[in-house]
Formats: sequence, structure tokens, C-alpha cells
Amino acid sequence: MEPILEVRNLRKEFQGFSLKNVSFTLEKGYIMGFIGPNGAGKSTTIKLIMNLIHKDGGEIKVFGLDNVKYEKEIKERIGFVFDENYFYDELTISEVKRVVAPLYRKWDNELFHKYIKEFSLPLKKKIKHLSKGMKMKLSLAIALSHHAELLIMDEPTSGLDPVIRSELLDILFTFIQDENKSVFFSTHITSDLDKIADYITFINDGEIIFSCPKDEIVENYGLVKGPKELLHSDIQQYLIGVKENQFGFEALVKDKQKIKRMAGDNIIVEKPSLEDIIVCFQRGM
Amino acid sequence: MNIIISNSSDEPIYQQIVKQIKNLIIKGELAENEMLPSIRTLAKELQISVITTKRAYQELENEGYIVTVQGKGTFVAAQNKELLKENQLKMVEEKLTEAVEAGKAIHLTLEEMQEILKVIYEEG
Amino acid sequence: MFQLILKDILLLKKIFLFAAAYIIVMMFLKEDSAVVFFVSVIVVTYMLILSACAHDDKNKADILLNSFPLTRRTVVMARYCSIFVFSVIAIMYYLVIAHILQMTGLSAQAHSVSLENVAAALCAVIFINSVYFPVFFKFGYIHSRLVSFILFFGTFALAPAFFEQADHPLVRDVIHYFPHLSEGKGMAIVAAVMMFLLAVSFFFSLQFYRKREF
Repeated sequence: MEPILEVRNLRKEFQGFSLKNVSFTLEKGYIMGFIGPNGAGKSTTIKLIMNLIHKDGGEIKVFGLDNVKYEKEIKERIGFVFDENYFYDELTISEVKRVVAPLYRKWDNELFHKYIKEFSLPLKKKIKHLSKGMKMKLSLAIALSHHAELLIMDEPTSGLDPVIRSELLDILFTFIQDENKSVFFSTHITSDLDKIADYITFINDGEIIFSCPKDEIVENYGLVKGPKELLHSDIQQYLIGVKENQFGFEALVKDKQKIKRMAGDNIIVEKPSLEDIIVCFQRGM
Repeated sequence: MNIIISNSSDEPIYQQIVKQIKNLIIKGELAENEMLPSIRTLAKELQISVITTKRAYQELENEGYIVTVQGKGTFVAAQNKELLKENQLKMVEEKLTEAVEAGKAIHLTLEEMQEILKVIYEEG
Repeated sequence: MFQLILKDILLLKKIFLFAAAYIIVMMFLKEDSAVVFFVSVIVVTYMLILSACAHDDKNKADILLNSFPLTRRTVVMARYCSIFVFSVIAIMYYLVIAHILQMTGLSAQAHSVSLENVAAALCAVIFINSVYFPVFFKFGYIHSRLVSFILFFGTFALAPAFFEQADHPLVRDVIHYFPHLSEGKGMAIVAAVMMFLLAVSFFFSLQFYRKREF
């Protein structure tokens, strides 16, 4: 079965920053979290997928189709939810629907109204009078109402309170019950992904550091805490992003079993959160 | 069917699920041929990755506890009665080992332990 | 594409009211109905188009529209179509208001409009936007505001100058050329020139917009 999203050797040069050889694959039926610190290249990658900017090299395929050649067909089947802007401020939700619905071949009006009801969105209100959470839900309602198969979300939860973020996760969990659908979720708020992501792709400074199942990361990577003396021992080469304090150090390791065998009782090894991983890698740069 | 997982425990989540479902089967709370939730439903309800639930079911299937029928779903396998009994005995052994170790730690003799065992058994 | 024009119309509700007010004021201020018509249509169309572009800029439409199954070509096409849609709206507005004013007896003069007036106004509108749009699509709304401003006021500054130069031999030749043709042919040539101008303008707009990165 072909992957729903495939990026290979993607390259883009800017002044002072470049995406180098970005590659990853997302299969149908899964949620991929796309994480990395600010400025790492997350938005650039998504803009390249959406054809907002032009690539310098590499290949992007969505539903097995080239993303530039088949742009329109692809966008019929994609739902895009992004952070900054949603719709025209001056239009009401009904008006937005009037404009947007005919753009999609598979628009399902009944489904749209079902979501409007479920998300409690006021049809007659202008976009500018909606809260940030409501705007995000409207984006989602529209994305879901044309039977999108792939949801691409670029920082959808920034600025939203934990309650709405949790509601969003519920919606995504329901979405993914259909094993032909996928979600590509780019964010720097990794706590959302700690639960829901199946795969994690980590980008830093324009390069992919890893792209693998979240379970693998959480089981193999470890957050090591130990005495400073160990910094001069064998394990030093395996430590990523060492942070020293007065009483010891903290660092990330890729293979925690190995480090446990090497250092034994001298250290504590904990399960790292995705945030720990990003911070340590960033520190290590 | 109740499955409770801990996110903060050191034990991988898939293993927690495997353990708990195994227990439910051994105790008889999950009957033979009873249908289990799909991997996606389970993932959604527990708010975890579907890869995790997939892995748990895979392991349970490898060990013969459950069976997946294409297009129909996942079911509790017809349990080999001896194997079941053996597993249940193993559970008892594990618990007793824990008790013995606890007793030895405070220097109880075998007779003292047996005394305690008798009281508890007759009470319950 | 029609959805994009619908979008503009929904956004420009307030402008429509303002446009009506403007036309009414103009009718009372000026005597020469041909001039009033000419100026009104250009100004109203200008207001509508520029406001639509401003709304798009404010709401980051470039990114928003990109997320829909719309090609950049469609986005550009919609802008060019809006030239006609808005000028027709402006003309209709004018005619309706003129009619109402006459019926109610509020206005002394008859604001009649000839086909030449309509053609002249359309030519001016097409000319202004044919120059404006490529700049708009290349540099975006904010950086092309100066150009639209110059074009708009330039047209008003140049038009009287053009008529003043009626004695210049070249101009006289151009003007005298037309009466030699039947009215239909003259119109057809003008229409062809305008269409050509639009086509060239569209070509450049499309190239510019396709190359842009957001």
C-alpha cells in the first residue's frame, strides 16, 4: 500500500538557513507528530508540501501523486488546519461555508452541520468575533466536511487552553478510527503528541534527526541523571545535551539499556518526554 | 473489561496491556470466543498510539491467548485447559515467592510462615 | 472562481453603501453628466477592487486560498473577472440612482448615458487595472499601493490633458481616424486593443503570481 505522504531528499535554501535532505514517510491510518524547536524547519517543510514555496530539490508525494503536478486533486482530499489565520474576519461562519463548500467535490453539507452542532459553533457570528479555539474548530469542521483523508496541522494548538487541546485530541482519535486516514501534526507543544502520536519525526536545524514509532523512542531513549564524575567516564560519548548543576548532571541517551549496564547503580534513568528529547538535542547543538 | 495503564511506569505500555488481558483471560473474566475491542478502538479509549495496541495484540496472539479473524475481529482463543491451569499455578507460585521473600527479609522461619498461611487460608 | 468573486462581494457590503453615497454626491456636484458617469464608474470600481485586494491582504488570503483546491491561475483569473463584475455593478448602480433621482424629481438634469460613455469608462478601468494587477501580483498589496494611487490619479490628471491636446497632429489623426470607420468597427478595434492589453497583463500577472513564495 502506498504511503499517504512521502517526502524524499527535500532541499530548500534560504539565506542563513536551509533544509537538507529531509525525508520521511507517513502510512495510512497513523498520526505523525512533526516536532522540533522554533526555526528548525517545520513550517518550511509544510509550506513545501502545500506548494506555498518552491523546492530546490527532492520529491514530495501525497496519495502517491506529485504534490506540484497534482496540486488541485491532492487539495481536494486534504484538510489543512493552521495556526495564524483562518478565514476572512468580516464573514460569518455561514458565509464562509457558502464560499468554501462549492470548492470541494466531496462536500457533505449534513456532515458540516453535524460538526457545527457538535462543536457549538454559532453560524451567524463573524469570524472576528470567534475565540481562537472556535476558529480552530471551524477549520477542523471544514476539513472534515469534505471527507479529507489527510489532515495537515501546523501548530493548531498554540494559544489554546488545555481543555480545547484535549478536545482536539479526542476529535483526532475519532478521525483515525478509519484506517485509511492519517494526520500530520506539526507542533512545538509536544505534550499533545506524547499521547496520541504513532510516529514522531524530529527536525532540527533543517535536518531530520529521527523518524520512527513513538514507542521505540520512549522505550530506547532515556533521560540520565547522575554524578558529575561520570562525565569523564566511558558513557560521556553517548550523552546528548548535557546539563550540569551544582549537584550532578542530566542528559539524554539513545540506548538506555546500554548505559544502565555501563553505569549500573550510579545513575537514574527515566522515561523521557518528547519535550526532554527536543531540549536535549537543542542543547547539544 | 477493565484495562488501566500507567503512563509514568517504567514498564512499556504494550506490556501492561498484555499482562492485564492475560490476567483477565486466566481469571476467566474474558470468556472464550469473546470479542475484544479493535486495536483502534482500544487506542482511542486508552488515548494511546495504535501501534502500541497492535503490538500488544500481536504478542497475545503469538502466545496463543487471542486470535484475529480477518474481516471479523479479534477474539479470545479457545484456551488449552492445561495451559490455563499451568498459568494460573504460575501466578500462585509468583505470589507465594513474593511472600516468602518478604518473610525471609524479617527472618521468619518456615513454621511461622506456614502458620500465617493457615490462618489466612481458613479466614478467606 | 465564481466563489472567489462571491467572497469579494460578501466582503464589500459596506463599500457598496459608500459607493451609492458617492454617486449621489457626484451627481449633485457636477453638471456634465458624461463626466459624472465616467468619474463615478472609475472611482467606484477602483474602490471595490482595491478594497477586495486589501481584504485579501489583511486576511492572508494567499495562504488561505492556497489550502483550498484552487490553482494560482484561478486566483488570478478571479481578479481579472472582478474588473468586469465590479464595473458592471458600478454602471448599474449609476443607472439605478440616476433613474431614482429623476423619478423623484430630486435632480434637475437627465443623467443619460451613452454607449460611448460606457465604452470610455470601461477602457479607463481596464487600462488602470491592466497596469495595476501585474504589480499587485508581483509585489503584493502593500507594496503596490503607490502604483494604484498613481494610476488612479494619473488617469484623472491625464484625461483633461488629453482633451486639451486635441490640436496636436497625432491626436487629431487618432481622433479623426475613428469617424472614418463605422461606429461598430471603431468599437471593435478599441475592444480588441483592450482585450489585448488585458491578455498581456494577465500573462504577466500569472507568471509573477506563480513564482511567488509565501
